[in-house]
Parts: sequence; C-alpha cells; structure tokens
Amino acid sequence: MPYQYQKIFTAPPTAVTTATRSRRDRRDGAVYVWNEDLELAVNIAIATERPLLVRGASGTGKSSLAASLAVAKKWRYYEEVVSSNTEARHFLWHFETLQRFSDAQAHSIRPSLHYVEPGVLWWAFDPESARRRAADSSLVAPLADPNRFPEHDDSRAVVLIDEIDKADPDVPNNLLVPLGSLEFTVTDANDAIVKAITPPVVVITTNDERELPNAFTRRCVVVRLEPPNRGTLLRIAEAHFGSDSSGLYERMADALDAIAVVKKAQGLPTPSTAEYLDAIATCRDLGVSPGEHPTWRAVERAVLLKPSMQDETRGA
Amino acid sequence: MRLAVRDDSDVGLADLIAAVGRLAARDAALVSRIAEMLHVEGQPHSEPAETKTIAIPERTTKPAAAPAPPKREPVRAEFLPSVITRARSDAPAFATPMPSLPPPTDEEREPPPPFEPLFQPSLARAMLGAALATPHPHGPADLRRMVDLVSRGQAIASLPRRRVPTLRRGVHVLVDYSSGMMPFRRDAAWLVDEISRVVGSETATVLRFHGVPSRGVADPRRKLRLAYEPPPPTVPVALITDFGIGFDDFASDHATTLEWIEFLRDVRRRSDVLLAFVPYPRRRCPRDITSLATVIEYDRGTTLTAIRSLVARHWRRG
Repeated sequence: MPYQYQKIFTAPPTAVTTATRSRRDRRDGAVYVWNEDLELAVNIAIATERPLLVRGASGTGKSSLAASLAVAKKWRYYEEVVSSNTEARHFLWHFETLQRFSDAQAHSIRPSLHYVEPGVLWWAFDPESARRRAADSSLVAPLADPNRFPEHDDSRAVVLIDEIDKADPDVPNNLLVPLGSLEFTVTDANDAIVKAITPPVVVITTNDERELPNAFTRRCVVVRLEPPNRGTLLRIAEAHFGSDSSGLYERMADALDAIAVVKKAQGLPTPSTAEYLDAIATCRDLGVSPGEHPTWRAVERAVLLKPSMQDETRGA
Repeated sequence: MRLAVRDDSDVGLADLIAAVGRLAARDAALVSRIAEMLHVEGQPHSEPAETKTIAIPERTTKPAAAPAPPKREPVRAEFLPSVITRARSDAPAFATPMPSLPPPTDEEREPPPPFEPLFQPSLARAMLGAALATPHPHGPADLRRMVDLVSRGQAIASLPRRRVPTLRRGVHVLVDYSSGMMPFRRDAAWLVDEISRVVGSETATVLRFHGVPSRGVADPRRKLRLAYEPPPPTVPVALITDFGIGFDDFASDHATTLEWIEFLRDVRRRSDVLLAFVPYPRRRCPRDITSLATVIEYDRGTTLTAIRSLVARHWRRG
C-alpha cells in the first residue's frame, strides 16, 4: 500500500517521450522515473530542511534527480561536480587571488569585492546578494545568475553537489555549518552574512567510493538508489525513447540480465541503467538487435561488457 | 503515536518530529521509514489503546503454549571417543563409560567475542587520514612568502601556494600474510577496510605478500600472483606487517631483516611516503627499518597526536 501523508512535493508522472534521446547524460530534468521511496525522501528533506544524500552505483540516476525535482517544481537549479581539488569554501565563494595579484602588478587593481566569485550555495541561498556580491550595486558590476533554468525564478532553489566522495574527507565536514544553519560569512566581502531566504533543497550524491564522515551523514536525509527491476527498466526505456513495438527493450533487458549474472559471479559491477539506455540508443541508431550475430557481440562488448585489460589478458 | 529511540539518536530526533509533523505521517510503517532515512534508530509504538491488538509477549510471564525446544538427537555410540569405550573394568571412576553431554543448543552456545579493533574505531578515520595524507602544493596563495619576496624586491615568477594535506593520491597497501602475522589476520583485514573507506576504494590498491613483497605479491581483487612493482612516486606505500618480529622458527615464509632493509631501500628510493603499521612496539623494530619507514604502532595506545608527530617528522626530514 502506498504511503499516506501530506505531500509537499508530488513526483510528476513519467511522461513517455517521443523526442530522440540526447547523446549525453541528461541534466535537463525532462525525463525521470520516480519511485515512492525517492518521493518520500525528497519530502522529508524539504520538511526537515536537511540535505538529501543520494547513494548508489554509477548510472542509477542520482544526478538527474535534482534537475528533475527543479523542473517539476519550477525551482531555480544550480550544480557543482566535485573533483579531488574541490574545497568546501568553493561551494560558498571563491576569491580570485591570482587575478587580483595580476591586476596589482599592472597597477589596475579594483575593489576587493570585484574578485569575489559566489559559489552555488550563495546563489541558492540569496541570489540577489550573490549578484551584487553582498555590496552596493555602485561598487561592483552585477553578475549573471548561473541558474541552469533561467525561466524558473522561484525563491526556492535546488542545488546538486555531485559525487562528494571524490573530495578529501574534510570537505563534507566543512559543509556541516553552512548546510545546517543555512547561513555563512563571506570573509572576503567585508564579513557579509549570507542567509538563505528560502531553504534550498540540497541534493548530494555519492558513489560510496569513499565513506563519508558520520557527523555529515547523520545531518542528511539518506536514500539509496537501487538498480531498477525489470519492469522499471522497461518504463525508463519507454520514458526516454517512447514505446517499443519491436521488443528491443525486452531483449536488451534479457541481455543485461545475462551479463549481470556473469559480472556478479566475477565480483564485478553489473551494467547500469545508463549503459542499458546507451545500448538501446546504439541499437536503434545502428539498426542492430541483440542476438548471436557479430555486430551485436561488438556492440555488447563496447557498451555493456566493457572488458578490463585484465579480462582481455585472460581471454588471450 | 510513540517512538522508542536509542539514546544517541538526538541529532535526527528533532528532524524526525519535524518531518512527521509537516508530512502528517500517521501510519507506523511510514514513520519507521522516515526514521530510517534520518538515521534515527527505533521502532514506532502505537498508543496504549491500540497495543491490545498487537501481540507482544511479556518477558516476565511464561507463555502457556510455548513451542517445545527442538528435540535433541540421541548421541550414537560410534561417535564417542574410543578411549571411553575401551575402558577396562578395573579402570578408575573417571574413566568409567559415561554418555557424552549433548551438543549445546543455540541458546547455550556462547556467541564469539566481539571484534575489538587495534585502533580506537572513533579515532581510526582521523588517524588514517593523518597518516596517509600527503602535502599537495596547490593550496591557497602563500601570502607570507609573497610578502617576503616583494619586500626583498624580488620578482614573483610563480604564485607561491600553501601546501595542504590531501588523500587524492590514493594509497598502495601491502598486507603481510606470513605465518607470524596470523594472530593479526582480522586486525589487518579491518585496517585494510578502514583505509579503503578513508582513502576511497578506487584509489586504494591492496596487495598481499608472504615474507617480503620483493619475493612476489598477490592481487586479491584480480586473483593473480605478480612480481612486485612499486606505485608511482607520489602514491604513499603502507605496509601492514610485523617485519618478522613474530615469526615462527618453523615457518618457511620468514624474511630476514636484511631482505626487509633491501626492499625498504628500494621502495624509499622511488616513493615519497613509506609507512608501516606494525602490531608490536616500535622499539622492537630494527633501527635500520625505522630509519627507512615511518613505523606506526598498530595498537590501542597509539594516539592521533603521535601519528601526526611521526608524519610531520617524516616530512621535515624529507
């Protein structure tokens, strides 16, 4: 029986698309297959004003969730992909030291606020303050809002902090205060205090490559995206490519199941939803169908099996 | 609706109350799922009026129709120790044939003692982070050096940056599987897991060896035996070994101190960081070894400060 509660966010029904699928991973939020647990997790995150930590293997749709939520609610949307170089302050603001230094050498130095670059959390908390870098508009030229959906100008925003497990362990801990109190002080902008006008929904994703600190996870709403079952997989394919009368989606799901059995036995990760969609896109464009013929075997090898150097050595 | 929670769940408890209130969640399964997502450990309980419908056995009263314990199989004579069946008639009383005790039931069987890691679990993360981090020269601009250069009238050719510790370079872990390390097998496995959690499983390479890695290593992930190749110079090398301290006289996989020194010299020539987690006091390691590797005692007494100090000494020494 579905959960009964007063929903703040209601997941949109999955629309079957007729458009050709984009060749890149979708970040436009146009197609997303929600489930009840995920919808509940988003509602809890909004109700508690806590970040939503989405765990799961690569290609399960963790990153697309945030954009889909922003599209469904017409909220502003910002995203930041974490790398090993990312520091926590980068999400708040960045000071262009090098530019300032260069300007100083050239005797063309400008007010220090000019070198302050607001980060995604600043934009999400208070876009007006970010636009003028917490200063009078007479001092610095206003910045352009990096909102990915400019047509959405709601006071609430969705922020995607993607793959936080790539960062050094201090990064999540250093985000505890700004995410918990929904305010921070910009020390490079005359100690201006930035407060969230409307609490944003912060979606943080992790592939679990590195364990996150307990103090951090305990301040998040945690949900795990499990690989979809066969029925959901077919619904996802329909949502992305439209309905299928040729049986391609079914046959591809069979091929995926067979590969998953072998990969599991070898202790290797199984093909993801993203790889399933890539395989369908390839078959549709190249006119190939799963079966015994060599073209399919080549497609299967390139898109689903992806043998490692080790596997190739073994095969040889 | 009431909810029984653990004492340390206070962080999420306020969130749970907020979520349940704002979402008007009423049924127990939903509240339970919300609690799970908020890391609040507990079980929802219905109001006392409703508890009548839930059959919860009382601990103090014995249930009238409790299920009978599983019937024990009679012990068959052929499985009894032969010494008893062959006991002579004039044997002393203690050797008189007696039926063996039945095997213990599940209730009688003692659970295995809980695993107690050698590092304090609450500090392990910080300790390993401190031990395995390497300085990375891409931190914020080093204003002190810049001011120093400018005040001397020197041109600043490149922007001096502060060195910040990072784990982005990963780690190359070598685990000693010699017989002398047998008593620490679970401790070594625990440490490998912790290292992978802190550094990231994708950037942590784990290899096993017997004796000394230069004799060859095994890659448990790929199930292969390989000749040992050190990692790139910037990747820290972490040994989990006793350097043969606890070796068994009859063990064939024992490596001599000389072999270890040769190996450590070779790694040291190529790697910036060489650490060893040793489950014995540091003073028991030969001096030649402690001069080549940063030896960290893998023991409860080791503190974060001690690790920081050892690592800082290594970086000062260069």
